[in-house]
Amino acid sequence: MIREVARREITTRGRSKAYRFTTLGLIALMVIAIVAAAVSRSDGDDVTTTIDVGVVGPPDAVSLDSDGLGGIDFVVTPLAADDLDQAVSAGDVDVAVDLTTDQATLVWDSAADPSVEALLLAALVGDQLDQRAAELGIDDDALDTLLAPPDVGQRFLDPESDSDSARTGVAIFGVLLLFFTIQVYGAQIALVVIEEKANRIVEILLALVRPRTLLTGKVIGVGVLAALQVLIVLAGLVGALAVSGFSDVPVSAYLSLPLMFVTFVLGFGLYGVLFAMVGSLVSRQEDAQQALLPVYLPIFAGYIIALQAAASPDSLLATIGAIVPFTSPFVLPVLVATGSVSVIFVIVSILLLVASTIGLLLLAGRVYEFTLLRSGSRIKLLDALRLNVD
Amino acid sequence: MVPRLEISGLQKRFGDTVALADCNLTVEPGQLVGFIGPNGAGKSTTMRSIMRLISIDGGEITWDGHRLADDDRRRFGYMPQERGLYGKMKLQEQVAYFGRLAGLDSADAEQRASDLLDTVGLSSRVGDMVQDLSVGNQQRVQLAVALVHRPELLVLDEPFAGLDPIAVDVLREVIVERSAAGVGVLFSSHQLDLVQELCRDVVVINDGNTIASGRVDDLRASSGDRLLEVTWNESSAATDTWRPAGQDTSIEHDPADADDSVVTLGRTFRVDAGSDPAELMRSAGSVGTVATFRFEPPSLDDVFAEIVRANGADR
Repeated sequence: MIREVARREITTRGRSKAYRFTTLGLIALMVIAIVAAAVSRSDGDDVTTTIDVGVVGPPDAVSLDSDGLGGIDFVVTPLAADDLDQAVSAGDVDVAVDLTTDQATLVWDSAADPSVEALLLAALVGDQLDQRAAELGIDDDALDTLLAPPDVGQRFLDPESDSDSARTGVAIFGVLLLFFTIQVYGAQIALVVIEEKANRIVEILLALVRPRTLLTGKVIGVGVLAALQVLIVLAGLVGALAVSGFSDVPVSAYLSLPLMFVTFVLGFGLYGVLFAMVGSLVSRQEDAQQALLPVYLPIFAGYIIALQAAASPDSLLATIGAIVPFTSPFVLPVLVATGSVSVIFVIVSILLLVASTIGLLLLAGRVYEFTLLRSGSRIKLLDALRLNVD
Repeated sequence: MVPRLEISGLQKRFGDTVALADCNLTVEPGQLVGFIGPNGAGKSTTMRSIMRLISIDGGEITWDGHRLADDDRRRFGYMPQERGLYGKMKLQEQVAYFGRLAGLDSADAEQRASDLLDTVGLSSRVGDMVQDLSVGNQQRVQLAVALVHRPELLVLDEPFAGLDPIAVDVLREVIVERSAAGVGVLFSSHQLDLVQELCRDVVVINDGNTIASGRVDDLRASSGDRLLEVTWNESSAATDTWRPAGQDTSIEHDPADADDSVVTLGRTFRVDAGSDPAELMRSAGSVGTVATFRFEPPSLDDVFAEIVRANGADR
């Protein structure tokens, strides 16, 4: 019977305009994301900035070579001394070098571009050093020896790399996805429950199936629709990562995606049951928002801890958040994406999540049984639990 | 053989309110039982107990000789007092869905749904959304939902409430047909004329207690009163003033009353059950030629009011 209830949710809801439009919208968005990732990659390979440099004086007196640094290309334009200010302020050239005075001068319009400035200074210093060395009688070899940079090595304890940003990016993306999907579809479950209670159909349903069956079918039905959209987004994410310019997306980032789906399914189960249970306490849609407020709190907590965990995955808060059932659906995938938890930890966390979902389902079945045939003012959860025990 | 439903000593309280104190009834296979009582007497609570929608505090409900279990409910068809359907679901789909929920396979559920929608006169609208139907037509769908899984017992809470005369006829036909097929039917109603017409048996409940049960005819006959209606071929001063002799009678209906909207020529009196009809007829014949003469127990309506009043006075 769970299958029948779930199937009805899937067919009626899945056929609704709202669902079809959002699903098509998501597919379109993901295609755009993949295309954008592909385009930005091809741009990234040959992106160069051309800097026009005006030179007053002998044009070969300054040897400008960007050396591929920052992809800057210098185009040298000889300028007459009289045209110098005019050319800079009109933007004909980005910067001008005046070599006619004793001291070489860089002429900018309003502000200096630091990277261009550094390259120009290096070139000018090099030229001046050569001149001075010649005046002092130092030959080229001696000069090279003198100017050779000190041999200093570097060691990074926690090197920043593409793979790090990919991991964090995937983790944050996943958290956002879970955060929105659980809220939107969880609220839908609550609204369905309230609607069935309001239009009294629940009495006929409960005459045929047990409350727990009805509740499970609903969570599964709405969950399947939500999962389909999550899969679309995750597929888009994998596609975008695959074609993006990231040099090496670490295995853990990809590994976290299936896990993210697993925690989504389990997290959705847990919160879906909670949404349904709380929804059964009210009889009118107007009362829904207020009644559902306590359900949103752990979702927000999970979201915030997960974002914090993306920044510092080794913190105590992140570890606790990843094991406590109501926050673990959000936090665990982050820790897996950043590669900071063991397999045992993941298994324990998932088992805890499954156990609490089953426990909550049993509890919700009893609450459901008690509340669904009561209409009128909102029922307090504690009353529902207490009276049911009597 | 279709099993019987038996309820004995049923008790239910909601907090401090006693909804059922001692409710007893039996529905045999093929028996049409009218379940009547004032508002708040416990009819809906009893029916919800049969459908196991609420737990009971005492007493027992048995079906087929064993204590009622959850799975037995799939053999019952239920129409709750407050009707409910999915507004945005097509008729055929909806009826078939409830069939599947009750355990029919898909093909059977579809077939049953279309057969039943045909029976209740909605075959041309199977593809319409329920929300696009009139209230009366939605009730017909509700009936189809209650019948889709070939129930062996029908539990109908106020099935006639809010129905137009044509829908009442459809429902009445279906109930009689199901009953003839061996299905036990328990239905509550405030339309006692319908109950009297449809049922051979009734159960009267008041304040959570079964206060009377049995054949409708026996219940009516048990009344201390009889109704006497006489019409004469020609009315005269003598016929207009004639009264049954020798007893304290009350005039139930007199066509001479200008503000009486009942269109009948007869004059109706309430007389003692022990009166001799032959003697009364002779007396009426002495003032004019009697055209029609009826001497019968009061209607279920009257008897019901009597029983409930007496029950209230006892306590």
